[in-house]
Amino acid sequence: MPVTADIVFWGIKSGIKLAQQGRQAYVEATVNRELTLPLPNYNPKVSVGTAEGYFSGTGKKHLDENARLKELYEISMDVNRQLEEEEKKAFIEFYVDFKREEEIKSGSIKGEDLGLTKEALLSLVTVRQWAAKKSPFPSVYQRIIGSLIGIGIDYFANTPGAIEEKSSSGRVIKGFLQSIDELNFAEEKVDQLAKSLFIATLETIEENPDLLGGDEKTEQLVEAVAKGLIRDARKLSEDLAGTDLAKQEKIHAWADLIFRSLLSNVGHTVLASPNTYLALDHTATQALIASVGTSVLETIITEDSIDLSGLLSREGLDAVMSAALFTLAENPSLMGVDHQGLKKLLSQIAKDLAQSSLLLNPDIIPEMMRLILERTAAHADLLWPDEFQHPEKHLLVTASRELLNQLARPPAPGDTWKPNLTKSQILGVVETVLDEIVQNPEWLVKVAESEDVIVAEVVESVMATLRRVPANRLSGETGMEVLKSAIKAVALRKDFVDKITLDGVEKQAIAATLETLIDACLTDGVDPKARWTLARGEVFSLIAATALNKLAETGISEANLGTVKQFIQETAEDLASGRPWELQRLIEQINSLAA
Amino acid sequence: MIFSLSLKSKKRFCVLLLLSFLIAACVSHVKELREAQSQFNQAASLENELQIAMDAGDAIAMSAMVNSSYRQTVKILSDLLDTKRQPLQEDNLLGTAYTLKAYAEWRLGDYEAAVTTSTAALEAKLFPRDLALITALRGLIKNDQAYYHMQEKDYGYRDIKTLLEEALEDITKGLATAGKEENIRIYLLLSELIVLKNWTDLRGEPRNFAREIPADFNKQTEISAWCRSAQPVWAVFQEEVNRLRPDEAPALIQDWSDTLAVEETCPN
Repeated sequence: MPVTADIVFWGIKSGIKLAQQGRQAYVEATVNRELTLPLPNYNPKVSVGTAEGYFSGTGKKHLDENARLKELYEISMDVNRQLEEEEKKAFIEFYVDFKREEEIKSGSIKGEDLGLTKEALLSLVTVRQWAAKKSPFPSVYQRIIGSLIGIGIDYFANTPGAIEEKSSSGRVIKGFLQSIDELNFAEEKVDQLAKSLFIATLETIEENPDLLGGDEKTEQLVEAVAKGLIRDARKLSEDLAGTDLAKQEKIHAWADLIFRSLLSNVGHTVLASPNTYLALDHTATQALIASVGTSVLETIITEDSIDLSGLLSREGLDAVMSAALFTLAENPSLMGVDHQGLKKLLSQIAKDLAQSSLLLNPDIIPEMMRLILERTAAHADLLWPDEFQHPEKHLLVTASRELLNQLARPPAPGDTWKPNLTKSQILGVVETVLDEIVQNPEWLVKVAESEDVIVAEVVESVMATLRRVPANRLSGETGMEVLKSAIKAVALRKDFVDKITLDGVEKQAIAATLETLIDACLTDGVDPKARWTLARGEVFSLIAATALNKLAETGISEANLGTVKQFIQETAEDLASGRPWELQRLIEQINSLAA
Repeated sequence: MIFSLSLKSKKRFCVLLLLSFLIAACVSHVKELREAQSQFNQAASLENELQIAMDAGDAIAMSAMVNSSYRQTVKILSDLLDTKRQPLQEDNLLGTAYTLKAYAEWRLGDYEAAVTTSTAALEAKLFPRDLALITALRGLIKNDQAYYHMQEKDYGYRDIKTLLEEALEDITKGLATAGKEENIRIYLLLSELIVLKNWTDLRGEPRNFAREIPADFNKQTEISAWCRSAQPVWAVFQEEVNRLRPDEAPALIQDWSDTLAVEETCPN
């Protein structure tokens, strides 16, 4: 009965095929089944905010027509006052009435249509998997985000070198995988962060294939950095974010960025300082390096005096991170026993400089961090006494605060020079000041008869003098060059801070010097033809730099200032009368000034 | 008839028969998933009615029913994912199950569980609606967190505003995954309008909804900030409703125009 048997088998096979097809259809129908979606939480009633918006916008015209409405609107818009419940109702009713009137006038609604919208709303939130007539085939499927393992497999499959454990990239990956080895993904809710850090590891290797060394130390470094960051990000998340998703995501995003920055910088800095970072035992290395990343992370997340997350670009972060690693390489003890030294310092910089930076240019904050860290690296014991416990006593933080406060001071009545200083101009002056503080911390000693420290007094004095330069005769760039020359001059000779008598008036020597130069080059008394040349930025800044430097050598006296003024006036006369002149000759004349 | 077959044929017959029984038995996970879908749909319909107060009836009893159905949804799906994960995966139903579970957890206020589930969903195969829903879920959660903090008045103005701004961003990401013709777009756009409504309430009565307000708080500035977010959402909403649901569009646009007054508040 082979025929019968074949038919039986064919029947059963067909049945199975049919069952398979039917089953598949059942599965697909389930995938495509209508789902009624719940709306997020909200209050559907018209509120004070809606009415306020309306009467602040096109509804403003109604305010003058109705005194009561105007009164309610003004109470509502005044943040220090609040509408009573009855007033709220009245205010909202005004809105509803005017809005309805306008809609009827414009013909956009008819009264009987008003009740339909809620039903329409309910029908609109019942949604199938696909739109009508859209084919449910894989060609229209969205790309699916890969899992950690998927990403890893994909990477290993397509990057042959990566699976070589002895290669630099292999060691980096192994280091990372070791860092997450002890994590309990099911309970600790770190899978997303671990994944994004793993992607960061792979991408950093791709971007910097030769950046990381290929020995066992590299492996330890990556393990230490990743482990520390994951641990601290989780703790920060628990302590600060709770269940707030926005804060959690911010912490994770910054942990990711910091991790990338750290990985990119270890090659440059950490591996270049093997005696510090790699000579330590494993635990100490882990603590020290992880602390760099976590200090920066904590500062960004917790600092509330200024929004650092809005100011730090990847480049800015790299600069801060590199400087921090370098600083710690030079001074491992700077972290302190609690590993908080770096964080304390960064926070203090943000706190102290927030106010003036917001007025000047908030972008300077990351650069200020870099400048201070770089100088701290070489002179930590001098700049940050008290065993790194009190960051407010860090000399460069104090100096920066004093300097920026002076630069950010608003113009006084009668001031004519009101420059908009650029980031690079401000940072140029900051560098000059910080370098001088490193050379001589006495800049921060308070001036007799004044509460100001010397640096503040000098900057205030120079800026006050410059602010009286007639408008449009001095650029911000030239002004800052003059300020730098003045600071260098005071560094060479403290007499510039003392008082001298000029034209019968007692004034600070640095101010008197600048006034002399400005009088001779920039004021209305100078012939316009001569001023055309002398007011050029490069000419005036060179004259000022030369004069200040020479006076620092010879000493400041009314006679010396008079001589300098005379040299400039002679040059001005040459220029005014069309005679030949040479800048070099003027510079030589000033340099010939005798003591 | 079977008795007349050879031994070899009998064996083949038995194998095929067994296979057919197995196929029939292999849909239990699909049935359970469908049961979870039914529970969820029931809960969501009731909850939406409650939310927009349309013939809501006994709100307390309905609310209890809503929670019970959502809990039932989560229970069915948790059991299913524990015991029948493999068949769900083979049938490409894992993503649908995770999506449904994440949304039920969201509605029960278990946000951490919802995020964890949505993360797992992203590793499964997701179809268009589910992908858009999972992508937007964080935004929906942030909206509800903001709403909760507004009711509890236990959060600062800036923090609540941040939650709402980020809610808009996340829902927009969900919108970006949905094809032009997908009806899920309407749901996500409505969700964005709801976020804007919460923001409207917050800026309108900051002292009633926030623990503290910034020293430099200024209502006109806040209205301008709101407008910058509201205008693009409103423009897309009108366009998409007119395109996807032309019959309901006029009434729906009218309703939300009354609720938010975007065009009147932001005339430029």
